[in-house]
Amino acid sequence: MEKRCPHCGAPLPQEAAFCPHCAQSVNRRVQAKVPVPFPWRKALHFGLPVLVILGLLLGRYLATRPRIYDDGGTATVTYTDRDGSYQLLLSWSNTRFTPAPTLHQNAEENGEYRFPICLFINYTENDANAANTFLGKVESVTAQFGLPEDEDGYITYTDPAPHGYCPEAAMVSFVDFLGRDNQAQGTWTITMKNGDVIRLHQTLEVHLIRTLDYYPEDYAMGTAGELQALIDEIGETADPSAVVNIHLPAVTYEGELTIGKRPVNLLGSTEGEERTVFTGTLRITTGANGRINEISDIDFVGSGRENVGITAAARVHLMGCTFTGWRTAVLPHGYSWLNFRYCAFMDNEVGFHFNASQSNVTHSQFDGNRFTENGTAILWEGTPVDIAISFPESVFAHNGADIDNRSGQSIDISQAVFE
Amino acid sequence: MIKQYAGCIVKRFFEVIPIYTWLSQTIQAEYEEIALLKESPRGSVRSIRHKATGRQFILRRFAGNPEVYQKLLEVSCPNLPAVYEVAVGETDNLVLEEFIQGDTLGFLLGESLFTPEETRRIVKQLCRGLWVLHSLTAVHRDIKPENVILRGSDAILIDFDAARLHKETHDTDTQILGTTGFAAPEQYGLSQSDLRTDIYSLGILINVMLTGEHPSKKQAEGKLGRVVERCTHVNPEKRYKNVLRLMEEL
Repeated sequence: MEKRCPHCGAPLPQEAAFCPHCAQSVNRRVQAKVPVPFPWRKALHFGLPVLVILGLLLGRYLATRPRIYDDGGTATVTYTDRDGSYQLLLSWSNTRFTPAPTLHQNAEENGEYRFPICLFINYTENDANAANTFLGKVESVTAQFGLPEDEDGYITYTDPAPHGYCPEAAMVSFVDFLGRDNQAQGTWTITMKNGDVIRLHQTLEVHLIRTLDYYPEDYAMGTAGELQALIDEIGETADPSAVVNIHLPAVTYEGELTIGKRPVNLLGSTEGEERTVFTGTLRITTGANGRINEISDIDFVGSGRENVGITAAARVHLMGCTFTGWRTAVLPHGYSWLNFRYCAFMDNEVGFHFNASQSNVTHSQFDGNRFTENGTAILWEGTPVDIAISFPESVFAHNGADIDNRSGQSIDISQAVFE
Repeated sequence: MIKQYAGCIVKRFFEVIPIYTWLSQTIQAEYEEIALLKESPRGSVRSIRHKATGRQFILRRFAGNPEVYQKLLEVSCPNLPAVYEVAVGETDNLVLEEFIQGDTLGFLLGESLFTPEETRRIVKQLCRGLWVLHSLTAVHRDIKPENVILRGSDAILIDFDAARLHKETHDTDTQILGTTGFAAPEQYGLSQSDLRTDIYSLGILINVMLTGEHPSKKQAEGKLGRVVERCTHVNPEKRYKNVLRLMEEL
């Protein structure tokens, strides 16, 4: 094949790389690339000590800079500092070593609820309580729930603080929530004085429970016998998980009544001038599943200070009731707790005789009550509870003794009124 | 018609006359000799000038393996001479290459020694040239002051007559071609010449540039002395792995 010089046109051998006639190259050359050497060894020789120093400084910086400990949703975290290693966990008062990442609560629709949750701090080495030591290193503790799924139903923490409810706990916060099918994640943020931040999370799941309402128009409950029969039938047939409301008519029930098979709420009539009246003793002996028996707007009328108005070996809340003429108007005993609010105790030998033990307090405020002309308005016996009892806006007037505190229970009367 | 006919003549002409003869005849006709630079039983080196343009070239005639020159036809590097043409004959080879205007290190060393700074600068440039050569799998095998030309600030490595392509399967080189004193021990049959052979020679060169002597007579001092030591270690494994490492050290 013919080849000619591109510069002068002279014929050239096919393999020629150069035209000797015009002294020009006719082939293509590649400019060789030589890498720029990087003096790695020198860099290492001089740079290594610098790197080591920088590494040490970085290590020291990282060791001293604030760290974030997040439990990842487990409600427990291990925090270690120079003094030791600590387990921090959120839990119930009776499970100091078992975190409670998910809290399940059953609630009646639109019911307002509160329950305590505890922050425990244990030494990981020996499980001893490290709350006091640890709190000395803490700058602040806050707790906050995120927005709940149903934004119309609130879920909130009270500010965490040491609390008599659970003295073993470093902090206690009360969770307030509204009865809805709802869920929210709460976060406790513990900020240490050294800048470290610890985050503990827990989720509250609120499950709405069924409410069964019994009205006098639908069920026979005009007499004590009928009412007892209804209570017994409900105890045998109604869904055990449901809340039972018995709406009582404005009648006077003569005779004793017993709530013994399952908790029920007895709601006195609030329509018109007439009220629901009980003249016999009401015995409440069951508090299955810790459920509270709500008794409201009923007048308990005794005669000659001979009998007991209510005896309760279960959880009971009284609201808007009156008690007159009883030997003992209200007597909680056994493993129980009874709270009353906006109730009136008049002309009883003893208005409220607390004689329970090992109580799980469901409410510590006894507000808006009125004690008038009782032999003893309040007689506190039994086992004292760790939490202080208070009587805000409760009035004590003309009683033989206002408060006879025989168990040494902590009672806050600062907001009570003594006339 | 005429053009086609002429083409046929050209084709037939080159089919009959090999490139070696054609190049020899053309150079004889169109070039003039300036100087005979070197002559030995293995060949000669001449400087020649193209009569028409006045450009100077080096015409190398030597018996041996021209494979490294053939590789260099395709590359361009400021620290290697441009090889323009390689013609292989029956008994020897013709190589037409760039004429480097300058003095050899051998000549300059007769006048004075080099400072460490100058030595570094020059040897680093030689390393660049060798990097290109080594990347073509070639080994120079004859690095010495006479084969280094300084053109202004550029150092150019010349004379690839002794150079070979490095072949992994060779146990030993087939010939001893290095210049005594600058050739690495393994080049004398101890082991295959590889790129570390050139590193050895560079080490000797550095020492000669600094002291005027072979390191066996007078070892350079200081950092460059240690570089020389490492370049010339009798065990090739303990020399710099490649010229890039040597450049880094320099």
